[in-house]
Amino acid sequence: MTPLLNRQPCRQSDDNLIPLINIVFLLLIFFMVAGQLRQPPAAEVSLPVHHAQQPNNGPQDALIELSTDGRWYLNGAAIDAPGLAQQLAALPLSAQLTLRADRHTHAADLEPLLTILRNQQRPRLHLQTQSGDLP
Amino acid sequence: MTATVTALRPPRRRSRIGLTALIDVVFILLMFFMLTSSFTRQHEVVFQVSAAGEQITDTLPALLVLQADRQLRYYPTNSNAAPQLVTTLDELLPGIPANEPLTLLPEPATELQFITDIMAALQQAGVAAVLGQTIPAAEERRP
Repeated sequence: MTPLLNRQPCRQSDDNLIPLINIVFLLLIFFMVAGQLRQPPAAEVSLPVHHAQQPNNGPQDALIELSTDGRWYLNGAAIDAPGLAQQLAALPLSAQLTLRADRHTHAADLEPLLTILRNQQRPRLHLQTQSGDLP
Repeated sequence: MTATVTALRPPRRRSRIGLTALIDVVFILLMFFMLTSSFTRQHEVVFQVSAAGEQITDTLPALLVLQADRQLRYYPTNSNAAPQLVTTLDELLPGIPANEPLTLLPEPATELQFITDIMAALQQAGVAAVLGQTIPAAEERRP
């Protein structure tokens, strides 16, 4: 005979999952709020380190990337120097050009881009940097 | 009448909502945000680039040569004297006039990190620095 007073309350099996769901939801909200969605870069580089006051959140009309092996990319697509000059010439002079290059890049490797900018009378080039300390 | 009909119906059993599908969706969203999120805060330094065909004047512009060995050669305005060779920009800053443009001339092997450091420091000091053409290395005379 089953004693009436010792009956356990019927617990649902899903009750064990509620702490898990709580944690997963918290993780989800953290990554949604704290993370930034960006297009993956075409060239993996170590950006120059600079402790700027203002983060770079503004719009960029053209993202120019220079890989460590000297290849140029414009908005994620590989391009050669003459093609880069042609594509940049199609942009208005007020367009914001952003450069993403490795911190160990030599000035001679940047010269093709700087020559294009000089010839097209574009006075400003935004160089992407990152905060932190040099390794 | 309607209330009577409702009362006569058998009680509806509330079907339980399964959590498995919800957990699946939430896990997929979590994976997506974990894999695509970037936490690196990026900044930028604005390089002023000298333009081709700028007006040629009689005055000799102030030049700062960024050597590949991280030394600096400073040629003041209107001076053909020997350059001032320093290792840190702090030694030069008091002598650089803030109201005159300063052209930076990196050597071919000068690294971008060094150019960025000097450009940012000059901008912070209020000096109008312009990035000029790359010059051949180790020239003691004025470029």
